[in-house]
Amino acid sequence: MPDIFVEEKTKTSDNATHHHVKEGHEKEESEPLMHFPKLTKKSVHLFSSFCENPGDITFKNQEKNEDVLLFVRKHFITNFLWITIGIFLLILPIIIGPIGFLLNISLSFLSAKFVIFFTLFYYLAVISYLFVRFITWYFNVSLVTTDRIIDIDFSDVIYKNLASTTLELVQDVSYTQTGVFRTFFHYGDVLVQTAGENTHFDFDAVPKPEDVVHIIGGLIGKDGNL
Amino acid sequence: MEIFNSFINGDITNIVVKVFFLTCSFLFSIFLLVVFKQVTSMNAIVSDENDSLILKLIAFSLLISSVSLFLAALVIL
Repeated sequence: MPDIFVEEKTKTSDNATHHHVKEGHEKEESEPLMHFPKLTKKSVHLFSSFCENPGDITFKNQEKNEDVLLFVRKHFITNFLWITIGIFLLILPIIIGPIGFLLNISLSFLSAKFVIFFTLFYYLAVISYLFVRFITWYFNVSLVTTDRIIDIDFSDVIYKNLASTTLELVQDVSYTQTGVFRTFFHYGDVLVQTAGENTHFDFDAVPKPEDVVHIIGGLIGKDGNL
Repeated sequence: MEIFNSFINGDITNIVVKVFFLTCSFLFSIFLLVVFKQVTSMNAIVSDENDSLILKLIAFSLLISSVSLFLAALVIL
């Protein structure tokens, strides 16, 4: 009887051990190597240029366990020039009309139909110009995820470049903030140096550059640099 | 025949302006088509759930406006 009792106890113990090992193994498979505290997800709006832990952002080839920790674009103030040009172009016909009248320049060689069509075409072109400039800014995105750093460049409608590197390959991160304008609006360039094929990643004119450096530095274990 | 008569009557300016306008409008429509395709492809690379639809709608509206303007000019002018 005592033998049977001992045997049962051993069995139970074995089962428990086996179960425990199995659980541990499952845990190893399902959880990522690096652990990040669960932070509240923030929503990114159309004009956001800096967001920690964004909730709505997804990207191509995103892994299941990969979370976006940081999302940055150029500071919105960098759009000042094209917005000003756009506004000027929108009001230009209103200015030109009276000036043309004062200088006695007439478009009498064109029929009214042509003038209407040209005006519509002009405004469509200006709105398209503004839209193209906006998407050029909008799609120039840099992402820091739990696994890697992704830099997406998009310019002149026809050029796009996507570069990424794993966090293990990141060697150093630094930022520069020069000029009155940048200091006033608090943005600068972040330089991420890597040991990969792309030796460096530039995040141009991003807001809160020291925060970006701090976050990436924390991920690569160089938190104390600042 | 009408175009030929216009040439004969010395109404060349209108025809030149019309051809110029239609060419510009056509090329502009193609450009906006490229913009629309790029917006769609960039949304596939990186997207925000809320904004993707807005951007696509704006790009599509611009394209439709441009094509409409081209067709209207082709018929009316």
